Amino acid sequence: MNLDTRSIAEKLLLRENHVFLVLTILLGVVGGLSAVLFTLAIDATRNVLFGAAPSPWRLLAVPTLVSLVTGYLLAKFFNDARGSGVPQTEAAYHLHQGVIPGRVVLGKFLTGALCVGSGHSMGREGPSVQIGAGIASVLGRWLRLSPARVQSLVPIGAAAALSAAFNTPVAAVLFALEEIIGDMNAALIGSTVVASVTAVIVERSILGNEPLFRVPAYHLVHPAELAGYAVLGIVGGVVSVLFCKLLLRARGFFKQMPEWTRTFQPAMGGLAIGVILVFVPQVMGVGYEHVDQALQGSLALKTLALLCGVKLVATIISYASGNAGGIFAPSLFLGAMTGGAVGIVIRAWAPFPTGDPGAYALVGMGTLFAGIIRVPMTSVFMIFELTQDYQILVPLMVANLLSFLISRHFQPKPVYHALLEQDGVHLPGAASRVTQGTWRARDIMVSDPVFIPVGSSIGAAWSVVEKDTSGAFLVGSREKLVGLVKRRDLEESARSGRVNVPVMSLVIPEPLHVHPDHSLELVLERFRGSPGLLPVLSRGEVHRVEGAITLETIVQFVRSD
Amino acid sequence: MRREIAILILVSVGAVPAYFVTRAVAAWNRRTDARIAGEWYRRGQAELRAGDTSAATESLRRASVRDRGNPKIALALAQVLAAGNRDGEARAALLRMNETSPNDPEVHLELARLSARGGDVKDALLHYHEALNGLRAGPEAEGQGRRVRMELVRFLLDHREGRRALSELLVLAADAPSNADSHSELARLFLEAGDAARSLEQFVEASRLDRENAHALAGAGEASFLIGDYRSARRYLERALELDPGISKAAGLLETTRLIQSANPLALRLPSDERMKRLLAGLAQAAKRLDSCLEPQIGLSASQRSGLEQLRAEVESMLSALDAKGRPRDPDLVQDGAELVFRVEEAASLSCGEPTGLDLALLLIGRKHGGGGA
Repeated sequence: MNLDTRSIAEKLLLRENHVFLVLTILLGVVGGLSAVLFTLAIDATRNVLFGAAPSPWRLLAVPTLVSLVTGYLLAKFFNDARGSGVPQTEAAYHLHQGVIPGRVVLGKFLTGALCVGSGHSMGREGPSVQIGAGIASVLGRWLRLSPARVQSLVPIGAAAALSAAFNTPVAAVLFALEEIIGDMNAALIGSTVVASVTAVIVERSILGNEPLFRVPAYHLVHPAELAGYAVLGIVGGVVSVLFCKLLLRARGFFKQMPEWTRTFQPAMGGLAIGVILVFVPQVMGVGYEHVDQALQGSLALKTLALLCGVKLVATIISYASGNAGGIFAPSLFLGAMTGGAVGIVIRAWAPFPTGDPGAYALVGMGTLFAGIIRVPMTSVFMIFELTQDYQILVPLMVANLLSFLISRHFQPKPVYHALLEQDGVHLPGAASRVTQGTWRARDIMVSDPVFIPVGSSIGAAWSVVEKDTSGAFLVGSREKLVGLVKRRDLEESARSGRVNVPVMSLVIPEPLHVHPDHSLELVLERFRGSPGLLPVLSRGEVHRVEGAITLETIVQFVRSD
Repeated sequence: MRREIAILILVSVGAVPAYFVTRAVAAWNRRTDARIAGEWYRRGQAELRAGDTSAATESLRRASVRDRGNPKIALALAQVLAAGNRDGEARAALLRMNETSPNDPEVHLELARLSARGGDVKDALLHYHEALNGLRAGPEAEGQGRRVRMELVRFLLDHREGRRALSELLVLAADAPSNADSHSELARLFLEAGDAARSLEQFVEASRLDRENAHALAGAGEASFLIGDYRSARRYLERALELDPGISKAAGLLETTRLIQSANPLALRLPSDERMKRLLAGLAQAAKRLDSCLEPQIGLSASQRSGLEQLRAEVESMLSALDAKGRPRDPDLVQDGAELVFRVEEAASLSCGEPTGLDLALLLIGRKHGGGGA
């Protein structure tokens, strides 16, 4: 590189650094505004649709009819706007270099406000994250920043929006690092802090300084009370697992329904929610007013248990049926109700003095958040930020840790990742995110493997692969892998005269596979369990084949190295 | 680079109207919420008037959710929670209000009432005084201040804090409005606090302002009676009963007063026959009182019984000494006889319950003269 070239490169980098800094502050403002406007849009929608005291018919009709409209919009124009928005943002960050189309931002805002405002039991924080991240992505691309810069804007926009939506700037930064980036040591921490603080300033200048919840003063009444919080952690963990498992199962059920029903699925959910609202209107929308009541210890044990159970069912229905809205707020709602109920029981039965049930409701919020969303650091700091009370840290950590461990044991895949996997998207794990110092599957694989077409007979398939020495072969196409067929099975069938039998009769569906960013160690480990060929699949589209690894390619790779 | 700068400027400039649009939407939302909150507030108040505390609580809670910063709604919710005996929630709500507006007298008054109901005298006093200190100057606040202080006095009297109640009453009396009702109320409170002299002053002032006020006169009679000024008591009570014969307490007091005046053997300027007659009547009444006390069905301890029996013997001995025919003119014997009567009544009232009628009159005469060992 000569001096002129270096000088130009340095100038370009300097230019991009300046643009990035200004953009970070601007994203704080715009991301904050978008989150506040989204919150206001939800409130306005609710006020217009339900008024002051809605009749039972209105409670039934509004979510059903509005979901018909949003179902059409989601199916026709904004398919990526379904659900929370956090998993989609993670996928955009990790798999698509931070690209979130502007259409998604518009769709999320519109359908999210309609769904949550029409009474669906969903939260506003997840959609806010996707909207904020989407605005950041669009701006980055307008400014023609490098793909790496555009990618790094996504968590910044997400943090800004979450900070304004939940009024907790520190927790928003941690959420962006822990959940979106998946790395607490990320270099983006400075930028996310700037954007988050800017956003919260914007939010408070519009909505005022009043906190989201009226949090009671917290006291650990007796050291033995930590045992009570441990019980809360265990109960919280069980409720978290129950919620995640049922949500995934219900969503799987809706996804298995015929394609033409997708337009109407949100309305089916809307009808169910309408019926629930007629009897238990407290589970409507975000529901923070009832969280507030639980924090004040205003709800009786029966009410707390009822609201916990009904909210769990309502959120699962709303989310699984494909409406737009998050599970961030419902997890806090469930946590407050669970915590309040456990607090009342412990107060009645514990042989030691205990705090108010409101204190348990507060810790319960963090506990369920840690169990469902699986961000233990964010869950601790979020509650700490709400209370601004140092005393709460130890009980919170005890309960959160137990809930997290129980949830991880029974539901190893975090719910956001599991939801993405249902959509055929596999996010990289922590090991795959290490970018240096290890060989990857993409370095070993052959990118032009042989495919046996799905409709082939065994005879035709054998003629295609006879001269190939691989232990197994891919069946399907590059765009859609159907499975593998073992060489031995194919050869035996061909030689025994079953040449006209379809090759599909020998196919092993859903074979072991790796993704391009998987490490050499994992490739070798999985290869040992494979029939002699390991497909390398795209993370963004899990049926798309990027390449294949056979014994031969591994040997070739070792020799070439 | 120009393009990037242009886009940044464009977005920055665009953010300004977006900010104001968002503020406008927020203001519109706040107005809508306030309107809905108002509807729930009115509904809650109507339910409260109809006596449905539970429904009122729910309505006011909804109002509070919609308009969290509204102190009127927050206070109404706290009040209805307190009315529904949900003291913990009410206190939490009031303490939250107290954080945002620490000098609000209404909030302190409600906190004081909650503390009073919970029996926390110290906390109640603190909040009552905070409520009084928080009141701004002005005629309306003065009236409110008097009501609060009156409530405080009643609370103190209920909790047998007579001395504290008296000091509050003195403050109250200092700027009390000059009307009969106000003086009568103060007088009654002074009476309850045990300051009969100040009570008499207030009752006299009340009856001066309203000469036909039978209750003020009856109160003045009662206060005079407690001080021991039976002549004035009789005068006030007779006048009160002339105006309103239905005041039963006054009638009872008047009867006792008359008995006191007619039965006192130590009264000044009495002819000796009359003095002796009263003494003998007193001793006879004392003997009767002792006899009824010593009946087997009265559960007395052995020491009480022996003490009363000894007094009964003393009465017999005194009656013998005061034989009608050989009646001595020794004034010391009259004094001793009267003192014996008083001692009997005092001892009988301790062992056999409060006296009535002539026994009560004799007991009070004895106390006035410092007799009966009192």
